[in-house]
Amino acid sequence: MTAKDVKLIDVQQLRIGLYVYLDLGWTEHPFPLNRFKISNDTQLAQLRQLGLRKIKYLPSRSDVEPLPPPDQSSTVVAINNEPKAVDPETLAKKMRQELLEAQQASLEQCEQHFSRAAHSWKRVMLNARMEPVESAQTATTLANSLVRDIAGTHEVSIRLLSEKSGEESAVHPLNVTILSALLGNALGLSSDTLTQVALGALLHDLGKTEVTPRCRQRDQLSSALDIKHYQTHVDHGVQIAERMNLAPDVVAIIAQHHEWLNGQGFPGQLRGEAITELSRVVAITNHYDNLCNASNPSQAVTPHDALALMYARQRDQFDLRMLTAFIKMMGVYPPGSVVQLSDDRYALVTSVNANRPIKPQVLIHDEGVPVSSAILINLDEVDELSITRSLKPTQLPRAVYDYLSPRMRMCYYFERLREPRVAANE
Amino acid sequence: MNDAQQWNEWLHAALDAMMIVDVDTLLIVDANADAETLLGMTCARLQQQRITQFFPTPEDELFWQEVQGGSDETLQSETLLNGGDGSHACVLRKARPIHLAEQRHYLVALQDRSERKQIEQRLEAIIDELRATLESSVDGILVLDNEGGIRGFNQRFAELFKIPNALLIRRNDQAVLSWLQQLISHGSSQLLPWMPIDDQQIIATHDQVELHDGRVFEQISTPQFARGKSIGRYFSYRDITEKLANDHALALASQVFTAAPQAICVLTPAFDFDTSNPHCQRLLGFREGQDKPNLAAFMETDATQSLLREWRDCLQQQNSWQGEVALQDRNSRRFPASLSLVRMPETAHHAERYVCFIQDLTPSKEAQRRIEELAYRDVLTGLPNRASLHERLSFMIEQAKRQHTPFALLFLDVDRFKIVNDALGHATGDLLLRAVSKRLQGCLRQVDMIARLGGDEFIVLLHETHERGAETFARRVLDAMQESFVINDMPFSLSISIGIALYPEDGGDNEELIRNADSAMYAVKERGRSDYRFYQPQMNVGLLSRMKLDQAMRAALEQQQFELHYQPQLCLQTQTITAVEALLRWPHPEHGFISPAQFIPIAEETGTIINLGRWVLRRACQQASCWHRGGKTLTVSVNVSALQFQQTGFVDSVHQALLEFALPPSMLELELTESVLINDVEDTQEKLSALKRLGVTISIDDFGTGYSSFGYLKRLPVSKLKIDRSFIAQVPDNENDAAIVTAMISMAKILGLQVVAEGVETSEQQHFLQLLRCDFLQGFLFSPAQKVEVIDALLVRS
Repeated sequence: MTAKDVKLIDVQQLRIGLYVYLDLGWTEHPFPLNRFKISNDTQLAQLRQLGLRKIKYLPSRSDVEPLPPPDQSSTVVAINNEPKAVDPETLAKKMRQELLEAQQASLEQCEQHFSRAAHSWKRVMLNARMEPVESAQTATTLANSLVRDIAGTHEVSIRLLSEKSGEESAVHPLNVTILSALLGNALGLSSDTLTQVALGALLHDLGKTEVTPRCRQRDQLSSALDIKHYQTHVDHGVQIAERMNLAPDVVAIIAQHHEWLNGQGFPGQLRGEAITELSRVVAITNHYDNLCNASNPSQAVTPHDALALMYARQRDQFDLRMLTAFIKMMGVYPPGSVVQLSDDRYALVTSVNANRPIKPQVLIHDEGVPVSSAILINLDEVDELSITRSLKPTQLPRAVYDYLSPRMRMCYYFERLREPRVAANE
Repeated sequence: MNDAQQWNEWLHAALDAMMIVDVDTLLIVDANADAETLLGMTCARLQQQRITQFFPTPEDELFWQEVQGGSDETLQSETLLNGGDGSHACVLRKARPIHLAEQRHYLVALQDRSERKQIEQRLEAIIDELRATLESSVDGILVLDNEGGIRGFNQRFAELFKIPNALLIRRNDQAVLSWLQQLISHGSSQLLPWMPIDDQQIIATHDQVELHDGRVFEQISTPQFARGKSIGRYFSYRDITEKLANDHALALASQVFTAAPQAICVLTPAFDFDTSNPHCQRLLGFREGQDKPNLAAFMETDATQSLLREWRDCLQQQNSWQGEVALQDRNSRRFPASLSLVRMPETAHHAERYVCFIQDLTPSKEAQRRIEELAYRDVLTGLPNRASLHERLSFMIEQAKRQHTPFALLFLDVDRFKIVNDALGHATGDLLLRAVSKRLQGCLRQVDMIARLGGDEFIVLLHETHERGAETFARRVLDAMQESFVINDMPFSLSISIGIALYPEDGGDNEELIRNADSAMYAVKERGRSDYRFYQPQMNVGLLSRMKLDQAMRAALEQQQFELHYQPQLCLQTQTITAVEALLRWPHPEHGFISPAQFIPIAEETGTIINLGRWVLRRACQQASCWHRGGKTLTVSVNVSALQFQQTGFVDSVHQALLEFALPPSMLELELTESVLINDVEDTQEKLSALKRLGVTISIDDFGTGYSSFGYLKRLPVSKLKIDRSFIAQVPDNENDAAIVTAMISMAKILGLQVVAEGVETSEQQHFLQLLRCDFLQGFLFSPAQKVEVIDALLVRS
């Protein structure tokens, strides 16, 4: 766009199909972008109420010619009427802010559920061997409440999981549980079955307490012996689970969460139908979370990349129907993903657009806009913008990271995903 | 050239891998060589493949679905490529619609990002590692940019400075810096985080900052450089509070070790010297660095090795050993020493060691002697002191008891020493006392002992000595004192009073013997000093405490111990005994006669005089009545004390006594001193008038010693004057006294008063008083106070 492309017309000459350019700051107008093609009457009315007499437009990108210039008098009338009309700018700003605040509130609520659940989970792990029956009871209660709590919060939950760090021991099992319950729900499982899948997911790594701490994470191991030792966690888990008198379906999840449909999983190298339905659910969610929350952060991949990888290259390991449902649920860019847009700006995916998963709603980083009223855009509505890549939060420049991640974060630490140790003491 | 050919040329001219896709079938229509390589298939084979086969990601599948559904959007993003040859790649893929042969086609351009992705991943890994390193540093790290903004700090930094959570989660550089500023109380540093870094000269700083809470941090700051240009500043902090405290403690311990006045050394288990302090080196006579001797080198050779073995065993078992041992220094000086050995077990920092404290006992043994001397010697004279005396005396009593031998204890007191001391000062007094003690020592035999009790009092113990020996010694002392003392060229004449108590007669223990000798000495003092005297039992009364005396008086009253003696008054005119004065006598069963001069003042002080006076009055009335009934005209005069007279019921009690014993009032005479009369003139006048009305005679006792005012005599109803014995004693030789007595008698005559002269002892006095026409005489010349029986006999004779 060069200066000679731009033409200045009277506000009364605007019509649908003109591509306009606003010389205003982002907070001074209600539109997502400061240049766009007028596509409906609402936009036209809003433009007229901005209080501008002249507006720039780009003939080269417009579909139509502007209207003929109006009389001097009618302009005056139009201007006089302005103050009496509802101020759409204020209204839009207010709505945007309310939306941001609502999202913030549900994130915080979700996080509270999460930390309570983490506490409960730790107790189960601690007591499972000494008090198997009581622990089974506690775990069942926890599974039930998780299933209940996540009803209707799936986007928030997913977003939270994407942002959450993988440091704490309870994070992974709870992530897997929530994702499994969500996936089970998407697959149309009954509520009883949902509880079973949640319980199995909660306890799927039960046997890791019997494994040397060094050998609890697969991605850190290279020697065959260590890997073999790591794999024993499944059998240990089954033994403990049986002492806990868990239902056979739940025990099966623990036994089969590392089995792949192509027969290359462990410990049984089971194939296809030999793996129970619920185990297949947890196999997907467990694998996904291990990709996203690898114990070595530099080896972790973004939620988007994890899904792409599983779908493009590991498809035969999983139940394709379930994997598809999982991707549909998560979206191509799951909420919480950090992305770079086609205009090189960074953004945070806040919500999946069910109709067009590749065009989610995003929160855009813009230095000129205060965080409290950050730009929230539905990419579906803006042809010019698209996502070009997803990033790990740690790859973002610090200022952008702080901007896009409005939740409690240790914004000064070099290692950004660390939980505040100070807070833990309180 | 048709569209397809045109596109084919462009395709092959392009740098990137490119291909054309038919939208309806999603089949690849054309592809360039780079695309062939990347997708791992020849163009010919590619033309039979769908684009989605190579890009099986959800995003790609969805995109192509949309395109098939009529969308003409452009897709540009990173995606995964599954090559036809089984290869995998990460690519940037751009698909945009093109017009080709009137059909909807998409041009797909690809850039291989695999390598870049790998580099990114490696970089990320490096950065992660660096971040983890910074976060796992034990030092607090803070990085600032050139404008003073905070780039970041690690968790340790936040912990060290206790940065509140609110400051951690919301960026506010100024607030964080202010927080630091209010926390740091004192920075010796010229550079602190909140200070602007103007001066490029400051390259690096290394100093300490003190916090208000008392902690001390070591602060190191260095500029951060990138390609030779300063881009910011790095600060690191380490809590050195404890280290500083340890350093101080260590420095202090080292100073103490060096400065300790006790010899301290550290020994190896073989008793080789490891370290020693200067005192130790001085004591044993070697120099540090000179050699590292073995402890055995300073000990006697004979038993050394077995002794050392014994110590080592003891140290292994009990960790310490203590005892006295003879040591020998390098100069062969042998000395007793107290040794304390403490075992310090092996630690990570040092091997097993013994700490040894050595104390030279030579000075302490001398000090012991000095202490004993101080305890048993009088510092001034060097004579044994009180403690020493008591010890010796007890010993002598024990010995005398066993051997039935006597000994004598003499109490010596320098006469009027206080005057010397007051007049010439203590220094002179002390010199004099030394001279006296020296001279006294000269009077003693070898076996005897002299001790100074304190002040000018000395005690002498004479071994196996009785009266004669004691007397001889006392005389010798008195003789020795004849020669005057010369102090600072000044001659002093001194005398000594000596009291003698004999064992076993005068006491069975230390206290009693000393006390009795003391009272004998006082008796000497009373009789004019410079003499000696043996103890006599009655002397002891003086030593009875006032309290005891008062209790004894009350008991005596109850037990009727008191007696009244009567001293006659001679009427000069008739030469007959017409009156007697009742005088109180106390024959104590243990102490013998106790003088009224001793107990009356105490009775007056304690108030016992009232009861005593009442008893005297009644007893006297009884006796007077007895004489009256026997047909003897004898007036009995009774002394009335001030306290007794002031009693409200005094007149009544007199009246009562008269009635009780049916005594004519004229037979009773009350003697009052002048001091009684002037106390409360009105009250006195009233009482005297009442007594006069009763018919009792009043006389003034001890006249001349008090106010001697004739004025009140005129006003008061007094009948008699008794001239005090002190005036009578010197008449007629002393002209003054003679004149006074003359005047008093003639004045009394003028006033119409009768006169009694007391203390008449000589006939010269009697003659003188007769000439003056004195009315009555009283005194030893005629009779001392006598018991009733004696008086009766006297009356018969006269």
